[in-house]
Amino acid sequence: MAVDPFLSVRGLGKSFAGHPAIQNVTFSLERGRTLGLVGPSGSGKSTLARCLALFETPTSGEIWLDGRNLCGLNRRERAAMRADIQIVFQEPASSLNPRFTAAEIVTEPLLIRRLGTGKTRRQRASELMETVGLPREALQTPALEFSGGERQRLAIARALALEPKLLILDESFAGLDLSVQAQVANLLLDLQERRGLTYILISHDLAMVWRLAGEIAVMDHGSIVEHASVADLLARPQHPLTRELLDAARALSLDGAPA
Amino acid sequence: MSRRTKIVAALVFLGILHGLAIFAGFLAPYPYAEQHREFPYAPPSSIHFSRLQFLVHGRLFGAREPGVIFLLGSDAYGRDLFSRLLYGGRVSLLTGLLAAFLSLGLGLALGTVAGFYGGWLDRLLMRSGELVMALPWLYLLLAVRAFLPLHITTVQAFFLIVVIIGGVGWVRPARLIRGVVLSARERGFVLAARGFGASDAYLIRRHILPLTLGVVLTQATVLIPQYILAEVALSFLGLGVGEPVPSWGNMLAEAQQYHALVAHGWMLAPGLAIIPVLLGYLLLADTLLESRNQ
Repeated sequence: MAVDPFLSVRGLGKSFAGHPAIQNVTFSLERGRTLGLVGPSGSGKSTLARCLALFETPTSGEIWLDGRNLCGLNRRERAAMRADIQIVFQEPASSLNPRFTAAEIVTEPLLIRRLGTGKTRRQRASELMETVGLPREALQTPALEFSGGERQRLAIARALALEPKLLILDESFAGLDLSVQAQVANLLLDLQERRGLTYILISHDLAMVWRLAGEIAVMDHGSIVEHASVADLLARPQHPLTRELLDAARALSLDGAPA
Repeated sequence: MSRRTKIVAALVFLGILHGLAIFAGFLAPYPYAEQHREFPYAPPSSIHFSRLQFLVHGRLFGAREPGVIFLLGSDAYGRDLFSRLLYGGRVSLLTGLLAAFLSLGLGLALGTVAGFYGGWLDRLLMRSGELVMALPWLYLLLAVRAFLPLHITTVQAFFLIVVIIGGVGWVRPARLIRGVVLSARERGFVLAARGFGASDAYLIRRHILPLTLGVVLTQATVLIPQYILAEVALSFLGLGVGEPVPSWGNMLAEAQQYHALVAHGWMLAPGLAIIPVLLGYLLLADTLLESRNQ
């Protein structure tokens, strides 16, 4: 492991009204890698994601991204840092304003940050649509008229508009049919290869996680209980919860989970 | 009838009624203050086309001199009730519109701020709202009126009423709008925009205000008729615009005497004029509420 990793989280904790949602979370991640974050509901995965995306202020601990400490930034610095970290939410439908057109959605981050002119933004909109494999003709279509998978692509296209370094996918595949999941997964792998993006993938779907992720962190009761490479985790699960999750996944899978 | 047809029908109907008042200067045969002392309490005229002339003196129609035409009869001073009804509609309907505009403006601003920022600001605004709601506005108006000089101009009286009716009525729209904003600010797309570094002003303008449009429209259709009625009630009590400027309320005040009720029934026309206006707005409000509940 390098001395100064791309993302380093040290002793992170967040409490809501005195109740800890995550505590003492420590891990690091290299640039261009994917970390899968798994665990039962309520184990603090989403809280961790929201802290990393600077939506929540951690109660304790530090987040270092690319040599900069994200905790203890003032409002303005935090707003600037947000360009580097993007999150794609659980439900793409609710994260897109149904009144907006595809063009308005994917260029919204640029508009908010007053980047470029109307003309360059329109140009960027068609590039982004192409990147995520949506037809350019759909730019003027209202968000309401897209299918679930297309909305997910729109959400990813929007997240890519600011050229982030870290992309957090919080249950972004839930509710999509399998062929669309596969398409989006391929899209993500392709983007990672071309742009060196770093992903944190939160999912209940272990098959998806070991398809995309190089390493997996298992969370339970607000802490990371096991963190290993995918191969190690599948071969030698240490924590009882990890074993439980793997057994459950194998039981559900028709042809047996890859091992 | 489909909902769309109902809305269009209500809008056209209200448009005609408001048009009658707006174009009073053209449609009314006489100026509102013109007196024909020789014809007090004249009953409604029957129409003889041979004695009518059209498009003279910049008005749609009038009677050939020396005849007179009182479509709805005349009042104690021989003033044409039909003309006064149209001019009076200007005051009454405009009060409703302006006061509702004021209420909704205040309600939108305060409700949005309270819902969006929450915390102590929300508590302060909502508690002040409750205080305002508890104010007896009739006595407030009486007190303000007593405090002002006895004779204020028509325009001053008009704006006084608008400000008091509208200024007291912001609480209900503010509460409803606060509720909409409260749920809107947690919507995924608002959080997402915040994640891109959007300012509060941007979030409110681009994402939140459009969501309040439904509430604002339905509140407008509920508040306008309510405020028209309030103006009529206040002018009836002599707190509104004064003679000789007509409003439906001060015209009705003249009709409250016994002889008007038993012998000069046409004096009650302003009371009847309110009914189609209120029905028009109620139909609009009902239809809008129905479509919002779907």
